[in-house]
Parts: sequence; structure tokens; C-alpha cells
Amino acid sequence: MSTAATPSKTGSVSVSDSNQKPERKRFTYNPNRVAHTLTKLGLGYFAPFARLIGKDEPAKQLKEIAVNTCLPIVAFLCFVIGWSILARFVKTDSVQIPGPHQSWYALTGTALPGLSHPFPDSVSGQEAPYFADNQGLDPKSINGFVVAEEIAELNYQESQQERVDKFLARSREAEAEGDLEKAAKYKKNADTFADKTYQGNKTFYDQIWISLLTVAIGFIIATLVAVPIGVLCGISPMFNIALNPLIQLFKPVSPLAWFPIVFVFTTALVATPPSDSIWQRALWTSAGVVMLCSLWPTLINTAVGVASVDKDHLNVAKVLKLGWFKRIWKIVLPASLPLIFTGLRLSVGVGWMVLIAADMMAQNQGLGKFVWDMYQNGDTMSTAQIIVAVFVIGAIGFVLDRIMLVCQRLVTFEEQNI
Amino acid sequence: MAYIELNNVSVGFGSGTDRSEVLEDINLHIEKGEFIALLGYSGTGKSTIMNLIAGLVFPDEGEVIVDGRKVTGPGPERGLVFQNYSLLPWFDVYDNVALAVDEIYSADSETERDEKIRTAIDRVNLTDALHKRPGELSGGMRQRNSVARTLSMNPEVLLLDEPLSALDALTRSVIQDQILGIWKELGQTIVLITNDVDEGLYMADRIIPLSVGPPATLGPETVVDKKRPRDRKAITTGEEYHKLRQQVIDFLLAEKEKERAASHARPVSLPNVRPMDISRHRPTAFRGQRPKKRKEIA
Repeated sequence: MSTAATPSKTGSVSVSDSNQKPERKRFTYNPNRVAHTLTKLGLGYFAPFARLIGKDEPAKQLKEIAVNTCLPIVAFLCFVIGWSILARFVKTDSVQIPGPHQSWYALTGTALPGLSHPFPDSVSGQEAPYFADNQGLDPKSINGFVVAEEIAELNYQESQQERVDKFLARSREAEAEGDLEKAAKYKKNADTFADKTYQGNKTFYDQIWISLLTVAIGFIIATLVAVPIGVLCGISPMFNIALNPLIQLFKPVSPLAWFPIVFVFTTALVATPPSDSIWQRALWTSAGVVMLCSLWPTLINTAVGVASVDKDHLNVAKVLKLGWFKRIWKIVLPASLPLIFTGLRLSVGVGWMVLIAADMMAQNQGLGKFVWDMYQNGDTMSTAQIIVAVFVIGAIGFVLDRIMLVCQRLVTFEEQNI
Repeated sequence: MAYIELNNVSVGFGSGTDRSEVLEDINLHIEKGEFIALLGYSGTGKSTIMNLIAGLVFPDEGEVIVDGRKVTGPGPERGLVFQNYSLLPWFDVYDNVALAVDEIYSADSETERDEKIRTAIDRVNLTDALHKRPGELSGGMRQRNSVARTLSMNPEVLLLDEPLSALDALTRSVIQDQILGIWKELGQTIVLITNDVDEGLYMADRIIPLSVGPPATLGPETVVDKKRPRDRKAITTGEEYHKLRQQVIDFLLAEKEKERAASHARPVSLPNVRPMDISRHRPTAFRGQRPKKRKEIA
């Protein structure tokens, strides 16, 4: 039997080898293959461009691009124009809703060429930088903000070092004078200053990473909890009946309501970490809230997926007399993976949405805290930064959703229902 | 005592007022090594008989005995080939067979199991598609994979539940011959469900038709005592098979007639109207009138 199998195997390998040889010599662009790969990766939007580059029915691709690309761009431009017009009308004593230009300035720290400075009344931007060594960027813009926070930390450490040096010098002086007690006191003072760490805000980019980390922790814990419970609910109707009221009861609860409860949990269970560690209690609290809110879609989808496994597949398991574990592992779980991943995709979406609120409440150093801090600043520039943050939050949410979509496609078989 | 026995078996589904009897008073005896074809209209309970022997369904009355023991559940000695293949789409041909072999021959070494898997796949000529998933296979190849999975368990009884009904005529005849080849080689007892009289005549020792239920019972059996290998051409055109086919078809047609008569028992009164040919006579009653508005009617 193995002899019968080997020739066919080697045969197929040699065939693909001979196919690939000309490709190695001269790179050939296969628009169809690239388009298919893009579609598989959830980037089907770019498929017409890939085909156009390969000159595959250019007229059709141009038409598709005209519809699929130009229409959204036109809509976006309409939105921007409407935004810039409407923003002028919304004003309070201290804040004005920032328009697109102001938001652009908040993002890049530079005015658009040909337009007047968006914040004429504030720090005078490019001409007179707030920090002399800040590359001409307004420290309140996000780009400036990144540098500003770093500079603030450097300044802090510098002044800290000065104090440490001062106390050490005094300690040495006291030692030279023979006053050992005083020397020890100064030494202790120096040590306390040396131990202190920077307590200011993280930079915007660090906050993005911390947000992603928080969501990842919450999501992973939620998955570890929801999938097994969902499988049990799907397998055993009794279990499902027992748990269903609890699920229905807790599913609609807002993250803001969960926060105080989770806060008590983390305070009780997590020891206070050193202040320069990223594993702050706030992060665990935030992750806990994310977990409690993103648990439900996965749980419910898993239960439905497991309960609706094809009866024939279960009959196969019966006829083969598969054991309980093997039945779950080899038949039930693979069969319900597409639905489980649909649930996971929904969970990531919910988790990311909940995160901002959770970060605000828990003061976790994530995007939510950024938004909260900017809100507390309460000026137009800070509001413009909030708008930038809104776009960033949306973009990251979109990317996360695409990643989950690709995962979902990878586990779904074309003929799932044979 | 026959190898497989169904004695006075009755099965129904549902309970209370919702209950419907599917099979009633089934008596079926099958000898070891025999090839039986169960023939009947769809929905008459053929698959239920199969599931009874396989141990997936249990009789409400009567008993099912295989090899002298009462059937209490599925077992590897009774291999069931499902109508819709029931391959697992996330496994390739090899792994689908391995699922069965690894379970039933878990005591054997890995090389022995590998050997068994490859033998079974080779027996249905699927070695070329060893690492293809069901989604990449044609209908006939899927069914062969399903047969290979069942064969790999080395069953004494092969239960084929309409394995060929979803295939095209050419593929069907190829797989018919493959099944007959396997049967000749290994000599299992085979129960085949089919709705094709010619298939029964070509493959089986006995054809047993089912009456139109519910509840269904077994009709008079037709013994096909022709020597093998049988000639397809003779079955479709030859005199000797004509009588046998007629016997089976007569029973099935009579059954259908009975069912029709039963449904006619309830008189249906049709309205006494005659169709009008509006291409020639435009309906005069409405000529020149516009349709009335709802307000005007009220």
C-alpha cells in the first residue's frame, strides 16, 4: 500500500516543481492569485487594484474601483465638509468642536499647507515651539505629545538625579565632618529619591499598546471561560436550561456596572505591584470588565454551534463508539469552530468597545484614559485630540475585526455541510 | 437460526397523540454472507430498519438479533455506510478512515494501523486522493471514502443505506462493481437499501420490498438466484430477469395504488366551473367597465 502511495506523492511534488521553475527564473505577476489571496485575507477591497496591475480586464476593474473606491471617498469627503461646516456652529465659552483641520493639526502638529494656523490663539505652533528642543512641534498635538511626555520624563529624571547627587554630596560632607548620623540621614534621603519613578502619563503609542494588551488579557480569559461553558451548554440540555437564566441576566449588563465589582475583586486579589510595572491593578480591573462583557457572544455562539452539530456526524461518532473526549475533540469542536469563531469575532468587537469605558473608570493607562485626560483638559486642542483618538480607536477596532474574520475563514470549510 | 434476525419488530416515533408508527411487525431473517436488497419508496422506513440493525434505533416491540446476541448498541462488527457519506470535512481521506481504525484497533501499533488504513483506502481505489479533504472530492469519491472507513473496521455486516442514490449512473455502476468485488473477496453479510430495482437485481441474492406505510411492513421477497457475475445487459433487456423485475414492480405499483385509493377515500368536492378561453371570448360581463374602487364597493 505504501508503495502505491509514494509514487503519487512524489509525482505531485515533481509536477509542482516543474511548475515553479519558470517562476523562479522570471517573476510573473499572477493577478488572479494575488486577488484571491487578498480576498482570503479579508482585503477583498484591494482585489480590483491587484487585477488592474496585472491588466486583467482593466475596463471591468476600473468600473469596480470607480464604484468601490470612489464612492466611499466621495462620501468621506462629504462627511469632512459637513463636519467642518457644522463644527463652526458648536461653541461654548472654553471649547469649540474642532473641525477637520484642527484635528489634523492635533494629529500631525503641523498646519495644512495653504491654510491659516488652526489654533491662532493657542501656543503659536511652528513659529514658537513650547519646548525649544521639540522639533518645532506643538507639544499638545499627538506627535508633540509623544515627544513631550518623553521629554517630561527625561526632565523628571534629570531633576531627580540632581537631588540624589545633592544629598549624596551632603552626606559625604557630613561624613568628612565626622557627623555619621547626619551622613546616614542624607544617604537615606538620596536613596528615597533614587527609588522614585516617573508617575506621569505614558505616551500615546504606549497607551495604544497597553489598550491592546488589556483587551488581549480580557479576551483570552473570556475565551477560556466561555468556550468550555458553551460546549457544556451545547452538549447537555440540562446544563443549558440551568445556566440560561444567568446568561440572559448578565448579558445586557453595562461595563460601568461591572466596574465597581471587578475593582473590589482586583483590590482583594492582586497585590500592589511596583509603580513602574505595567501590571497595575487598573490594568487587571480594566481587563476584568472587558472579560465580563465580551464573554457572552462567545458563550452563546459556542453553545449554539455545539448544539447544532450535524446529526450524521454524531451518528458517525456513535457507530465508531468514540469516547466522550474524542467525540468532543474530533467531531463536535471542529464542527462548531465556525460558529465559535463568529462568537469570538463579536467578542473582540464588544471587548474593544467596552475597553474605553473600562479604561476611563479604572484609570488604566490606555486609550480610555487618554480620552478622559483630554476631556479633563477641556480646551479645543484636547477635544481635537479626542477626535484623533476616536479615529484611532475605530481603525484599531476595524483591524481587530479583520484579523478575526481571517481566523474565522481559516476554520470554516467550504463544504461544512456535507 | 439466521445470522441477522428481526422478530416481530415495531418502531414508532414521537409519543402521545403525536406518535406515528413507522414499522410494524417486521420479520426478516438474513443468513451469513448473504446480500440482501431492501427496496421501497422514500419515507417508508428503510433507513429505520438499517438503524435497527446498526443499533442506533431500538425496537418498541420485538427484538433484533445479530449473531445470536440481542442488539444493544452500535458496534464495529456492524459497519454502517451513511446515505449522505457523513465524512468529516476537516479530515482528509486518510484521517477520516484513521478515525475509525484508531478507535477500533487502538491496541495495535501505529504501523499496523497505518497498514489497515491504507488497505481500506486502496480497496476502494482512493489511494491517489489520500490527502484530499471531502470538499475536494467528487460525490463518488466521497462515497468510496465512506465505504473505506466502514471497511477499515472489518465488519461482519455491511449496512449500506442508499449509498449510491446520489451518484450519477456511470459512477454508480463503477461503485456497484467495487462493492461486489469487496463482497466476493471478504464475504461479509450485506444489507443494501436502494430505490432502484435494477440495482437490486444486479447485486442482491434477495430483494425485499417494503409496503407503503405508515406503518410499513415487508412485502413478499424475490429471490434472485442467478449466477455471478451478472450481466448488466441481460438485466435491462433479458427475458430471465424480466419476470423477477415484474414481480417486484407489481408489488410496488400495487402498494402505490393502495395508497392512492386510501387517499381517495376522502371525497374532495371540486367547484362546478368550466374554464373559459379568454383568447377567443373576452369576458362580456366586465367589458367597458373600469374596475371598481374599494370605496365604491363598500
